[in-house]
Amino acid sequence: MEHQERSAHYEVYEVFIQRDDLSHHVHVGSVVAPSAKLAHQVARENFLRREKAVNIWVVKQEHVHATSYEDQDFFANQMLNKNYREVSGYAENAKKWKTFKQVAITVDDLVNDIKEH
Amino acid sequence: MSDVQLQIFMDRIQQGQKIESTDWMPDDYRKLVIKQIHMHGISEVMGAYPEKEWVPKAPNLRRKLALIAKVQDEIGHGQLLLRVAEDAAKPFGKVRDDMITDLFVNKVKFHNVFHMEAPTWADAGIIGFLVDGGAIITQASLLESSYGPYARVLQRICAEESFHMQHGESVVLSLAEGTAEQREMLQAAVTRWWPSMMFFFGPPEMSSGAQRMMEYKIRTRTNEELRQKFINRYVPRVLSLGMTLPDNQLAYHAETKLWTYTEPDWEKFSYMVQHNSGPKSQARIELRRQAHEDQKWVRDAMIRAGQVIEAMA
Repeated sequence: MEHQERSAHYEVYEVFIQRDDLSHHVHVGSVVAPSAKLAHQVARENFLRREKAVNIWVVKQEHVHATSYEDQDFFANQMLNKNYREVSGYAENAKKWKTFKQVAITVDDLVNDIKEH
Repeated sequence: MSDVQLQIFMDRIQQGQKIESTDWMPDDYRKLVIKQIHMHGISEVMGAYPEKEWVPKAPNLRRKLALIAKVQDEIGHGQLLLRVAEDAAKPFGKVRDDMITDLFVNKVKFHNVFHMEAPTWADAGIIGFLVDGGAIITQASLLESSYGPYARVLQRICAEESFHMQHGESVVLSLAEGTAEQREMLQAAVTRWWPSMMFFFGPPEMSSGAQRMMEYKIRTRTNEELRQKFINRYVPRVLSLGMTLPDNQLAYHAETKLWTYTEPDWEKFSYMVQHNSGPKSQARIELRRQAHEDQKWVRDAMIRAGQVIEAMA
């Protein structure tokens, strides 16, 4: 087999796809491409052969600054009980409303009120 | 590498944590991950070849379009997998071009089934039906892989395989309800592919590399487990079409919940995969090599154009 002359290597671009106008871009994987413009095309061919989308970001892999998987302490925020931040921390509201002859409502009920008109 | 570091790593594996390309990992783990994903990626690419032969000869436009879509998916899956392999191989300085050219110098193997001939339209159907069925079973088991980037990319790949599966079944069902001649063609293809499918999952006695992959949970199911799942699912379906299978040992045993089957010629198939000596191995590798070399000028021109655009920006 004859010797292969090694080609210059394409850059790695991380790919972020926005499915619709009200969605954020979501990371789906990466491609290699010689330029950002071609990375858009390779990303479309690799990730959008079937699905719809409205926008693609490609970012050179070297420009992504990630936190460390090893340092999970960085994400530690569950040391104290934080149920005062959560809906689940207010379960007694429903029982109390009952004594006032009202039912509990959620944010979804208010949102749905808006959607009705 | 210290023993403590290795112990922490193995504890992470035992706890079911996912390993990322930038995490510390033993070289042994990294090499096995690269080998597995590289082989998987190249198999996707080479898997496009037997089917691409049928694109110009597909029986109607819908079948032709579906087959083109499937071929494009296989190449796309190859690109996604090689990308994941490249990230894993970064510390070794291995890039896409190396991953592709390894094929030409026999440094990476591909699945036994893609060394075989696909002489009739029924073969195109059987590849979608049985080969993709087997590949889906294997890939579904790898969704649990300890290597995070591999498990993630397989979610997309498995979703697209569901179309391949339906496409293969559709072709097979059409032939099964067709003329005597079409049913004969289907039967011949079933007979041709069955021993290859028994080899596809590998020998019951797994290689040391495969065993280490199990210890690292890069893969979590044995060859025999996967083969049994395949037989259990596909034998009744093939028989229900009124087709026969070329194996008189094939039987289900309720007490063990296992199937007996005739072992394929392990040595013959292993030799073929090791030496690329199957009926279509060399011809398909040669097509791949031509495509890679003939398009080198395009890749080089693209890089130069990219540099010019960046310089102007």
